[in-house]
Amino acid sequence: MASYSGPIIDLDIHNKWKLESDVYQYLPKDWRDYAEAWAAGKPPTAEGAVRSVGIRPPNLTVGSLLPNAARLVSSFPADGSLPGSDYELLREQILDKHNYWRAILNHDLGEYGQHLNPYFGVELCKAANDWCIERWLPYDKRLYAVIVVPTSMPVEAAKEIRRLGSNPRLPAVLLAGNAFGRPFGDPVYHPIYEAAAEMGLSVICHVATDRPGPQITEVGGLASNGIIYSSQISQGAMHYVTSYIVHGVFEKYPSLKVIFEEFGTAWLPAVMWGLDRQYKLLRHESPWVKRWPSEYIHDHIKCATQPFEESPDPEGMIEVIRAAEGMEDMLCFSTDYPHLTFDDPNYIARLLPAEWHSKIFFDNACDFFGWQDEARAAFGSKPAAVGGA
Amino acid sequence: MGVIDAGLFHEWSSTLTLTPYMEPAWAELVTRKGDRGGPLRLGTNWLYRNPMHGNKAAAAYPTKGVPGSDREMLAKRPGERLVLGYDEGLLASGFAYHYLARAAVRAANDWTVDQWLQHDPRLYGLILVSTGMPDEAAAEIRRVGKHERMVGVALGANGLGLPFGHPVYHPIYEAASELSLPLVIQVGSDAMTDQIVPPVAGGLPSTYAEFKVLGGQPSMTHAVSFITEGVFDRFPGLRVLMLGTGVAWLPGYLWRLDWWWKTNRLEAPWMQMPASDYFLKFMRITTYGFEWPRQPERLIRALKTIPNVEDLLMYASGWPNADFEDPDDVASKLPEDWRDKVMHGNSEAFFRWPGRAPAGEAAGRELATEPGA
Amino acid sequence: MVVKVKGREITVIQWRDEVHAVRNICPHQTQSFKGAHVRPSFTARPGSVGELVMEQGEPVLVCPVHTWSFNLRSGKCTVDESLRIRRYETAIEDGRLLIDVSS
Repeated sequence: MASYSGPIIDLDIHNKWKLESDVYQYLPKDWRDYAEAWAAGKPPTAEGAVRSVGIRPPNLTVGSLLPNAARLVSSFPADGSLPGSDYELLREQILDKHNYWRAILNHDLGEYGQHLNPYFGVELCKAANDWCIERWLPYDKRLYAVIVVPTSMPVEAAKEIRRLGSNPRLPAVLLAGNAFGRPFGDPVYHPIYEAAAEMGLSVICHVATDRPGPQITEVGGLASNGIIYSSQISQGAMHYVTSYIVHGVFEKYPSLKVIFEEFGTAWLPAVMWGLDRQYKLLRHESPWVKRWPSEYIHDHIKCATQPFEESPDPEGMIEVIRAAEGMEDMLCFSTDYPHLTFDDPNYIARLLPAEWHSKIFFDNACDFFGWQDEARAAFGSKPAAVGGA
Repeated sequence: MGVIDAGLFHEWSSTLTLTPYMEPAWAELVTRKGDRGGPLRLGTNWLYRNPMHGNKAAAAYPTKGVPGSDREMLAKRPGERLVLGYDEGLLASGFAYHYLARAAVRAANDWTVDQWLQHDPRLYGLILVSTGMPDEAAAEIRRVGKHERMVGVALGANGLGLPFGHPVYHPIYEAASELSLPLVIQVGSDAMTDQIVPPVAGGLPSTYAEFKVLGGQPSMTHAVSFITEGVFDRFPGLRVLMLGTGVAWLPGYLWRLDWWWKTNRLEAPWMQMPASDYFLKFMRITTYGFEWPRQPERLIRALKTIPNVEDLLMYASGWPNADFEDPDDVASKLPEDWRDKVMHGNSEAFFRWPGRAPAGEAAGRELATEPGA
Repeated sequence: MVVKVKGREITVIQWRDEVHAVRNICPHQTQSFKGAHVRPSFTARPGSVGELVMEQGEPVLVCPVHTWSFNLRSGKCTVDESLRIRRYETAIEDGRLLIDVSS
């Protein structure tokens, strides 16, 4: 398999604050007081971080059995701050180390809206968006970011999308966390898609803390170890895909595109084939389904490659992709830096056939974000230069 | 070589079919509604029902009774051996009133022996258990498992809302293993109204079509739970058949499973080999439930990425469900060199057929077929 | 600690009173072992499920990226024996660490 030296678009990088107060300073005063009241009168920690109710809501325990807080050891900055909070490390370890054209900042993991107090969640999302725009985007013109929204309050989410959606450095909306225990295609979430479509934005659905938690993701019962928990991650995405079809999301919003990140990809053929097999029944129950489900999926849905399902013989995974017609047009490369499940770009390039490199590392993402014109302006008509084997 | 159908469903038409097999007090409890209203239906409810035809094949309705209740009609099904499981009957195992569930499954097992196995030498049964009380389920396996035409255990409903590998369920596997009986887990085990465990991730699907596509998800979780919680390390003779779950997700799933096993191996140091090797050795999947694409060879192409995958697959018709498949339909979509194994050989190796069951683990080893052997 | 010897990056690890040296490339995704953690190997008592036991005499190097572990005595990956890391003999002489990179 060949290496790849052409331009890369990375669909998934997780940036973080150095101190929680970096984000809180963008909250309105009352909410900032709420956030920091816990720390009132107490000395700050040795690092000077303000203890608070927490930007991230609490999560299940079995997912936390991973070492090093599930982060790459090399991504821990020397000053004791958090992985993903250091732009210089990001630049050195990823942006400059490989031929990066653009990268999407997805926060870590952006599920601020999953706080059980939804009003706080709404304000946190706004503050985090402002923090990211003001503190991260200026670092590097290659950095683009998502608009984080509270899935627990779809109408508020729509407002936030409309507030920020005309910023060209924010090309997508992040769905992080299933707040209602309804799949993402459910009408309860449609205000989000309406706003995204109106503003010409794509939608990124990334693995995150769901609310209230295991009741949403843990089928068959609570997972009692990290192997069960992590290996079942794709199941939610399988349902989200079917829900987009049965609720007619792509009929209502024909310009909408959705990408699933950190759920893997090899489950996608099972859903496409399974849905096509139920075509008659599907149309009986959801009369607005007008096309084969697999066609909707081809046209509107993509998956980020990370975490790539590593078959013992690399040909295996490629064969699965080939078995599902056109699936190589649906994959977009991502690293998931600085998480422990990180996929190295050179490693992934060697696993993929050379003829898929420019699609998966570049073209499919341009299609997803509508960046074709900008790509042509930057590189002429054929941007990808494939390196030797 | 004759076809073995590893999964078709026999059902009782009415509670009154089973009451003769119950202790008088239980029979009285379920019938005491009197002449009006009829007896209590022995089972909880499915969360999902097929709105087009209740999920039963139109041609499978007998003149009297429900699909699957007519012995003569069922006897016309092709196959040298027919393993009788339950579709609707699984609901009895899921009744939240555990003691009633126990009474119901006892009656169902006795009825199966009396009204089915005695009458047709081609028929074999699965012991239905109520997992809500694992010790009682183990006792039922020991009670009924002596019958040589009971060839496996139908685990039925997820009675405790936990993945099936959880230690609380282990008494069931101890009993099954002792009697060399394999297990069958089925789509629907977690999709009953008397449960709070989710049957599909990401919320409840709105449509039956989605449930058909996604309903195998709990079984995927149960498989990893069996593997990582030491069930196959404690009971190496055990085998588990996944019925109706589909298979197209399997290649990527095994690779993902191994990735996490490699990373989190120290959570389960009792595992002797990679997680996917456990799957290949101990789990089987029925053809009933396959997500056949419009071009069926695409599924075969994806499956071939697993070495010796044909050793995992067992033909089951799924009759009388609406999407049942006749043997010829399935065989014609399989590569020729898979057919003997899938239509016969793998089922021959899997179930505890009469005359091949010395007690204990030796029997388990005899049953064990290494993939590719 | 990572050192460079004759153009090769080598990770040096101290485990109790032993010093180990391995090539600084993880055979999984060719990432560096810099910052890697060393711990005893996890094992299980035969026939026992549910207890975690550490084998105190067997050090494993845990890759800081995807946490695959490599037995420092044999170099073999504990989760995929077809993978090994290159080991080098070490010695301490006059307070200096010597690494044998010949062959």
